[in-house]
Order: sequence, then structure tokens, then C-alpha cells
Amino acid sequence: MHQVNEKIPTTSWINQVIKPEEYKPYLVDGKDFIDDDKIWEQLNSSQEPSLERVREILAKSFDIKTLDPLELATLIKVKDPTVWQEMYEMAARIKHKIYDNRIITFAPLYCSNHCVNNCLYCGFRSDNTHEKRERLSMEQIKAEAEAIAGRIGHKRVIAVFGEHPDSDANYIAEAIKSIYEVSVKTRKGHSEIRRVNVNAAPLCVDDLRKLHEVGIGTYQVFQETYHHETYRKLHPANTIKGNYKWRLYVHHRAYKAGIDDVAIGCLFGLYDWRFEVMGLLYHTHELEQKFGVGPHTISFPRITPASDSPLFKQLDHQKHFVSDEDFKKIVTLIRLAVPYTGLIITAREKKEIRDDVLFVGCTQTDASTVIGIGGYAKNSGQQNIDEQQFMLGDTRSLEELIYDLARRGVITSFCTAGYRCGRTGDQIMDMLKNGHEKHFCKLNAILTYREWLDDFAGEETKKAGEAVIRKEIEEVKKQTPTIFSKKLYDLTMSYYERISNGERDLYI
Amino acid sequence: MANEISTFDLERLANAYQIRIWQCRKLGRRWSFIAGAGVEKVLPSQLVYEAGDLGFFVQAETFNEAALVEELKKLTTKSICC
Repeated sequence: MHQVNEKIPTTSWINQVIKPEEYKPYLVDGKDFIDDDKIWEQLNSSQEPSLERVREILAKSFDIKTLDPLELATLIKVKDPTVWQEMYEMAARIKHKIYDNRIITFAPLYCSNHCVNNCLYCGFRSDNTHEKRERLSMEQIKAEAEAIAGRIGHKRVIAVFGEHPDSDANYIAEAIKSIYEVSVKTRKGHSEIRRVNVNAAPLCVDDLRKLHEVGIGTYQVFQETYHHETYRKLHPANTIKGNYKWRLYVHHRAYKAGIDDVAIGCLFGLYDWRFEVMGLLYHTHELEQKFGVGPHTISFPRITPASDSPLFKQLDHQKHFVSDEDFKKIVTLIRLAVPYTGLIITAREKKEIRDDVLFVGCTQTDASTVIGIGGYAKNSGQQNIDEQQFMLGDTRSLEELIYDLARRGVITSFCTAGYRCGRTGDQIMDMLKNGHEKHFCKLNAILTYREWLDDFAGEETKKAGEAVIRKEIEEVKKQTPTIFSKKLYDLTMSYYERISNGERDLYI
Repeated sequence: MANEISTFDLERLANAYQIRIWQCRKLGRRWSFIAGAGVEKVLPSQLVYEAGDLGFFVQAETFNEAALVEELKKLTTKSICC
């Protein structure tokens, strides 16, 4: 492993990274678009709504329209469990309306845990001397991708990088290229990573262009907390991450650099969850208004224990930790507020929670997850808190997840077709909103599921998966020619045959 | 080097051929959307023409592909006068 000397950055180094001219033009009277007082006013002014009012708002969500902040604040105020049940059911219906009966899977690929920041809740923070620091070489990154694509069968990764000069934009761009280069022979065909999403520090426009040019998938940056004061307390001022606005406007810079799929998120448990859900909605509105495209996905990780984390020793912060019941409400509210977006639930959460919230609106999840640096190639099967950012709650393999989902009638999709034929950015947003995207996804889910079953499934999983495929094909057949043209149906079935015979990466 | 086609021309082609057409730029393994015209339908996406790092996708039941490709060739190579 490449060893790097940890150094706390000097103020001059911080000043080189942050370019105020790249976020200041977006400010209004020097202020960003998160108005803490206004959000609290909206949350406090809403009374518990009537059922009639709730249903009006739900109808708007079902029409795939982004809610207004006051409408979301109104839903947050609901107390009646029977009304919440109605909201859970509507969230599930909306998810089905847009994304159909499928879940997309991916693997996180941690490339470097060197970090110059010192966030109080994070295992990678620079003051944590217990953490083992590593940065993978390109050969090691390829070995990770080979294990993910060749042994597990994932087709998507999210590559994760700490904020450090040794994992800068050039390193990230090289990592993306290296991952795309990997192709592994499988039982019946071959497997490769077809979409590389990135979770990295906020970069400047020039650096983001470098990622755009090598074919980045989604660029994901979480604000962590939208509450200014909490952000200030948790991210020391002498660090790069201490600059709230530089982080908040990174998606603006990404659009400017040509990246058309961006992802937002919030680390729940740092501040009041009601405020954070409102923050996510304001962020969505800002992106929609400025660029005509909202977030491709929204993530809502809950804080989990990290190595030597000061936050876990502070009782006053623990009051914001989110219960399982509230977590389900959070997922439901985000699905209702931003109906078109993809929602990601990760293996941070325990199996029971994941199984529950997958059905109130989540679209993507990870499995066979390893978050230690270089962990896929090592394949130790162990978690070590001093080698990873946090502890996982669900260590199911991809095969176990696929089997569990298949038994519930859900198809696992490895589709990356949108990126291969330009269904990206506002194009895909329009298709999500008008309901067309789910039809393509349905067909591509069948094709990619067939690939995975043939290349990676054990007998039991294959049997469960075959039943799901038969049901899906039957549905497509019934919807031909009303939804699917005869031409499209025939093409899909010819691809299906070719994939069954060992061809790979055919998509609609 | 190939030129991007204007939205005006994309709309004209979409109307003339009764297709959905969109132009993309090849970036690594992906095609990134630039602009499109015509009504989106649930039909296969067909890459009909590539020029440099630009690519043109079409959705249609039937259309005159040869004629469309000829037009795309001309449009992507025409010189821009200011």
C-alpha cells in the first residue's frame, strides 16, 4: 500500500482548495439557500393537518411533483399512526409507479482513507491515530474491481475517497479509468463494472471536469447536516470541510463542469431529523430551479459508531440520534417530497430495517459490502472498526440479498443502460417523471438479472430468480403492444436468448 | 472535429423523420446527454451515427436511416460562420 504522511493542512493549503469565486455568485445578499430560521418557522407554524389536507398533498406526490417546503412541513406534523400508514402505502405506490418492482444494487469501493479533515463523528478524521491509513495503487484498485465484478457480480460501484492531496482529482480520475478497464471471465460470460459513481470531497470546477471527462457516473456529496450551527460545531473551522458554503454549492459546480447526475444526502443523527429532511428538500428545489434537474439520488445514512469518535462521547448530541420508527418516517417523507428521485439505503442499517424501508420507497442498496480499504481482494469476511469509516449493520452477501428479494417477488437489477445511450441528466429526469423510464428499466432488469443468475447464482437462488424472471416476462408480454411495441418485445427476447447463450452487456 | 447540432436542427430532423433523436458525447464508457428533440416513446434506443466523440441516438418504429445519417454527416461537418 502507498503510505502517505498525514499533515494538518495549513491555512494557505486550504485557501488553494477553496475557490470563493466558485460559490459566491450563487449567494443572495451573502446568504446561502438554507435559511435555518425560516425552516424552523415552517416546522413550527404547521399544525397537525386534517386527513383531507394530507390526502391533497399525497395526490400531488402521486402526480410526481416535488412538494413545497410548507407541504412537507405539514406531513412532518402528522401524528396519527393510521395516517402514517396511509403515507407509507402512498410512498410504496409512488416508488412502484416510477421504478416498478425492482431494486438496483451496488458496492462501495473505498480507495483511500487519508483525510485532512477532522469531523467529530468520522473514523477517518485526521486526529484519529487508531485508524489504519491506506491509499490503494491503481493495481490494487483493479484488484478490488475484479473481486467486486468477478467474484460477487456487481456492475456498479461507488468509489469513495477521503479529502487529501494524495487522493486529489487526478487520482480519482485514474481510479475511475482503472475500474472501467477491468473485465473478468465468469461461469458463462464476463463481468465488469459498467458504472462508476464517486463519493469524494467537494472539488472545484476544473477538477470536476477531469472526472466528467473519464465518464464518472453520479457525483455524490452529502452536506452531512444542513443546520449551520451544528455544521460549525462538528467540522472544525481550520479544516476545508469547515466551509459550509464550499460544500453546499459543490453540485452547482458539478453541473457547471458538465456532470449531469449529482447526488445529495444527509447524515441523520447530527441534528433534528425534521430540519434535515427540510434541508434536503430545499437543496432539491435549489438544483431544480438553477439547473432544471434535481438530485439523481438522495441518501439518508444514520450515524453509526466510528473509531474513536468524540461525538459518541457527547450526550447532548445523542438526543438527535434517530429511532427506527422515525427512520421509516424519514424515508417515506423523502419519497413523498421528491417523488422522482432514487433513494439509497445502505448496509449501515440492520437487515430488518432495510427490509422494511426498501418497501416504502428505496430504489438502491448495497450488498456483500466491505468498507475496509482493499477489503474485497483480501476477502477476510471480518469487520475491523480501526480499518473502516463505521460499522456495518447488514453483512448479507449479494446472493443472500437477491434470494431474499426474489422470495418477496422483487427483481434485482444490474441495469446501467441509461448511461450507455445518453439517458442521463434532464433527459432521464423527464423520463422518470413521465413514467417511461420504468419500462426500459423493467426490460433491462430482466436482461441483467439473467446475466447474474447464469454467472453467479447458486442453485437455490437461481430457482427463486427464475420464478421472478418468468413473472416479469409474463407481465411484459401482457403489456405488448399497449406499452411495449412488438418490435421492442422481440428485441428484448432476442437479447435474452443471446445472453442465455453467454453474450453480455446487451441493453435496451 | 465534429460540430454539435443545434436544437433547431434536431427538432427539424425529429419532425421530418417522425423520430425522437438526441445527441450525446462519449465520455469513458458512457454517453452523456447533450440535447434532444421529438416525443419520447418506449422504443429501443439506436445509435445511428458517431462523429468524433459525438453520438446520435434515435427512437422510432421505422425511419429512413440512410437519409438521416447523410443529414447528420453534413450537419456535424458544416463550418460555422460568424
